[in-house]
Amino acid sequence: MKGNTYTIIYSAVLALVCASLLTLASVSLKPYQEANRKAKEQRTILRALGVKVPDYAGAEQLLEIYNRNVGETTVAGRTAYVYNHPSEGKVTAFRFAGPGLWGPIEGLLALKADMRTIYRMAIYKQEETPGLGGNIENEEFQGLFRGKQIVSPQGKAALDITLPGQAHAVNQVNGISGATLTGDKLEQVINKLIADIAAVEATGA
Amino acid sequence: MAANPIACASCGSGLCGGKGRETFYQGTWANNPISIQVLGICSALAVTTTLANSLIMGLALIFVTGMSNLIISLLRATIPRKVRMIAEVAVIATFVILFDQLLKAFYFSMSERLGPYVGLIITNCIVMGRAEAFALTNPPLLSVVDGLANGIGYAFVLAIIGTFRELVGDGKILGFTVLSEGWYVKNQLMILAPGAFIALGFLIAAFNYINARGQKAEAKS
Repeated sequence: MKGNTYTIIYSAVLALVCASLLTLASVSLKPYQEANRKAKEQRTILRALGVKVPDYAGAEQLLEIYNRNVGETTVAGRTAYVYNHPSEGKVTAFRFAGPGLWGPIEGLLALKADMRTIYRMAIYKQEETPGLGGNIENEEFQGLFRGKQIVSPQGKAALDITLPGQAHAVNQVNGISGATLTGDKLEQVINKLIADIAAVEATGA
Repeated sequence: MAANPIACASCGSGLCGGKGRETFYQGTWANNPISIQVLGICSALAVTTTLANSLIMGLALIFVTGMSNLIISLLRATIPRKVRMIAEVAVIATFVILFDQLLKAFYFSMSERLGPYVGLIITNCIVMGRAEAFALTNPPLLSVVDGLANGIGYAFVLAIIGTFRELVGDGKILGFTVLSEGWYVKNQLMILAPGAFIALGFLIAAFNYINARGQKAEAKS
C-alpha cells in the first residue's frame, strides 16, 4: 500500500510542478502574444481597406498608421471601419466571424461607397486543412472577391462561392478545388454579415 | 580518460569522454532518428516546405529532447514504475508547450506557419523513445548528450529536406531567390506532400548507401 500512496503523491506533485511552470510561462508571455495577435488583426484591417503598410512595420508603426487613417463607427450593431481611399473613395470594412469546417473563421469584408461592390476580402484567423481549405488565407483566393457584388442579379443579398470555374454571375466567386466544404462554410459566414448589411441598407434607403 | 574530469565526476563511470562521443555519434548519424530509425517523420514531412521552417522545428526538437532527457534522467530513480510513461509525457509536454508559447510570443509568423506541429512534438516518437530507451537508465549528463544528439540528428535531416524542397519547389533558399524565375520553372510537386515523401526516400537511400560503403570498407580492413 505504501507503493500506491507514493505513486499518487508523486504524480500529484509532478503534475503540480509542471502546471505551475506552464502557468507562469503563460501569464508572463501573454502580453507579447496578445500584441502579436492584435498586430495581425490590425494589419488585416488595413489590408482590407487598401491602406498602404510597409512590409516590416512593427506594432507601434501599425497602430500609428491605423489611428491616422481608419475611422470606426457602428452600423447594425457591428463595428464598421471606414477609410477614405485616395482612388476608390470611401471604403467600409466589417468583420465577419463564424464556424469553418474545422475551427472558427474570422476576417473582413470591405465594401466600396455603394455598399454593394466588394473592395476586398481578407481573413486573419482560420484553422482549415493546410493546402486545401487553408488556402482561403491566400491572397490569390481573396483577390477573386474584388469587384464582386453582394447582391445577385435577381436582387437577393447573398454571395455565392461556387465550384471552381462555375462562377458566372456578379455575386459568384470561384471556390477552391478540394475545399468545397470550407467554401460552403465561408459562404455562410460571409452571408450572415451581408444579410445584416442588407437589412440596414433597406431601412436606411 | 582523466582528461575529462567534470563529465566523469557526474557519471562516475570514468568513461564519459568516450561514451559521450559514442552517444553523440549514435544519435546524429549511426542511429539517426529519421534516416535510420524512421521515427518522427510526420513532422519531418509536414513542415519541411522551407528551410526556415525546418530549422525552427529542428531547434524545437533539440530543446525538447535535451531538456526532457535531463529532467527524466534526474528523476529516474524516483519515478514510480506504474506511472513511468505518464510522468515522462508530463515532463515532455511541459517543455513542448513552453517552446510553443515562446514561439507565439517572439516569432509569431513562424508559429503560424508551423501551426499545430510544434504542439505535436509531444507525441513525437523520438522524444518519448529517447526518454524510455536512454534517459531512464543513464546518468543526467550523458542523457543530455543523447537528447541533444538525437535532436541535432533530426534537425539536420530536416534542414537537408527543407533546403531541397524550397530550392526545387520555389527556387529560393531562406526566402532569397537563388534560381531566377526567368529560366527556372518552379516544380510545385516538391512543395506538396508527395514531394516530401520523394525527397525523404532519396535521402534515406543515400544515407544507407553511405553506411553500407562504410561497413564494406571496415570489413575489408
